[in-house]
Amino acid sequence: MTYLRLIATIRGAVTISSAYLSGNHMETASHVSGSMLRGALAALWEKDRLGNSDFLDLFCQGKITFHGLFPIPSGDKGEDFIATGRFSYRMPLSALACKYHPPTTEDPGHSYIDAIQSDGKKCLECHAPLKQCKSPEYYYHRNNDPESEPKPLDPRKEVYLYHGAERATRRARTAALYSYSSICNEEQFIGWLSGVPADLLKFLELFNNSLHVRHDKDDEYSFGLRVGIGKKRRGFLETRMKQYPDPGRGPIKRLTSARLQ
Amino acid sequence: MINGRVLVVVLQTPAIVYDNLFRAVTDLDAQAVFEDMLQSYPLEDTQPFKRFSARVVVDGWSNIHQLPRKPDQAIAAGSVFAYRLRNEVNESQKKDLADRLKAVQAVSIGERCNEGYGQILINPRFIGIGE
Repeated sequence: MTYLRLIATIRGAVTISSAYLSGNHMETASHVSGSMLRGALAALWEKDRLGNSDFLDLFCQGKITFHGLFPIPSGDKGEDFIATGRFSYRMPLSALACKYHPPTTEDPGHSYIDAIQSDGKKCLECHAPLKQCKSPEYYYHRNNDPESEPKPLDPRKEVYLYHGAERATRRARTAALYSYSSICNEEQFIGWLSGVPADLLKFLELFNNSLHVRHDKDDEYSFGLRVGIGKKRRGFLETRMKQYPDPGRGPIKRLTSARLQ
Repeated sequence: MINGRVLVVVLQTPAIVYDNLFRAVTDLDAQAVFEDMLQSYPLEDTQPFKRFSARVVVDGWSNIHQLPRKPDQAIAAGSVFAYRLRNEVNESQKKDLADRLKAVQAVSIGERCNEGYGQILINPRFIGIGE
């Protein structure tokens, strides 16, 4: 199995489609799903020049796996993620936290409790009831240390509020207020494509011929991905794609033996 | 409190899993996850002894057809299923078991795997608090 790593940086603001609607508010998802990534890459494929049969072969027959794009911290911490090939983890549904002092408040006493490991129903610090952690959706370990306490990870978001009667939105059904959230500029994502080496090599060779793809450095390809709501007029994902130097190396999926010891 | 025989499977992305009658399932059977890869490490039960799961409908919009996609019932990302091995794992077996679990982890489960669905992690070190 060979992996191609994708690093995507948001330019502008991007609203990633999600099924979550609350009243007139549409909340953006925190990650780009694999099917969305596949569609965004397929949009860069020039059918006339690159061939339709190869497109069907690579995109529709399941030869390449599109793993999706997952958030990573911004700034230096994000660079560390990229250098070490780490990724953020999904917050398990068994994660519980103090109802009144969630761990995101940086209060060291009130930390997460894993309901798989513990049957306790109260906070260890203040004995308050626990509640399930549904937000943020992702977490990571500090300093590349899987034994460290999990740190919640939520991309920065901004909310745009508009009136239903605005002509520009073309949604003048009612005069109600609508809103949606977007992921802010400069937020970063990491993701992968995987497949057998021959298929990925073929994909790279053909993809490199696309006019939408720049091949500045020897081993790095860059292009813009348009995903989410209003993708033609709003922000995009400036993406760098690179093959791992070691073909057998992929994302570091840590398998901790802590529970086997 | 769990002991050293527990395998905890955490879904990183939604998993679309059907049973043998093509009904969408919400409880992850061990066969769907491990298949025959554990071999000499039999599980106590094929059903998880603890689970925290949710259901989600996976749908979308096809730009090619300009139509909504067929909705699929899936087990939500973040769902956790805990299985117990029948026997204790001794020191000499740990390396072999870890290798097998890594192989299980590298393969996605269920349908539409090439679209990123069904990615799993086994025994991720999430918390370690409350032990």
